[in-house]
Amino acid sequence: MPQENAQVRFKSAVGILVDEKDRIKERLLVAYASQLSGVDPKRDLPDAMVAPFKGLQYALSDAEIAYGFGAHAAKKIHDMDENEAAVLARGIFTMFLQLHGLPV
Amino acid sequence: MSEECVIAVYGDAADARQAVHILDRGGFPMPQVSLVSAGLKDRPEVLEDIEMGDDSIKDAAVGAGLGAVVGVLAGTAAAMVAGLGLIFLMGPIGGGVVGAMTGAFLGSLSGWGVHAKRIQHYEKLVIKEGKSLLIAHGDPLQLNEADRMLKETATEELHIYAKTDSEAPEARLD
Repeated sequence: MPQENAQVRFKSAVGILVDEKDRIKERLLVAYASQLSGVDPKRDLPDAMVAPFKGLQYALSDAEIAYGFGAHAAKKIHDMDENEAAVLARGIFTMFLQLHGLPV
Repeated sequence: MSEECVIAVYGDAADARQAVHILDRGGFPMPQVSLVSAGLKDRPEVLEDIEMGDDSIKDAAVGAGLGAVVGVLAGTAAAMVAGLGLIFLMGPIGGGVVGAMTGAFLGSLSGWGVHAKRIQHYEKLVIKEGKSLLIAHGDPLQLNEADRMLKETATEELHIYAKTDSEAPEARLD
């Protein structure tokens, strides 16, 4: 089931954000690169979550978007400050809760 | 042995080590990952999880199907990261034994579809320019996953190589 793919990946991503030892930016990179980059929003997510997830993807990695000046996650996360990274991490946790039908 | 591989080049050994960690957290089998890197001795934070030992290095080399490399490894400053297929710690760039060791290992990449000219390119990157290589081998599905993950890292170059039956240049998917 497509949504199961997203649930598993978001669960793993949240696990990385919680139990990795590095600073938030490094944890965010590992969580996104290893797990969330494998989520296809149109295939794997409920309709209501497609736009928020695409917003998250755009913030973390927009190299594949055809406007010619995007960057992959390592560069984008390197350039953001810790507060911005923390906001994105909270966004991932919120989506995890939504996917699993838990109160946000 | 799987006949395809993906090779990522990193200017900073710490970025290469982080990429290995990303593959690990993404479920890619660590015995199918190798890291060839210069200057790790100068990065103690990168060496935290490295186990030193000639026997483990030889076992890893044989396990990775690189038996020809084993003879070169003896007595060199090489080590294996726990769980990785093979890792080389290099001494001074261009040093005789280390250069031969790296050359032997990189030469074995032809078995994974990497053309001779590309191997020379990687040798130059590692030995002359001090870059780090992350090499992951596996079936096409595994490599597509590895490619997806590694695209998000601080890689300077990233290529998938597939062994073909023809004499044509390597299949380049990027």
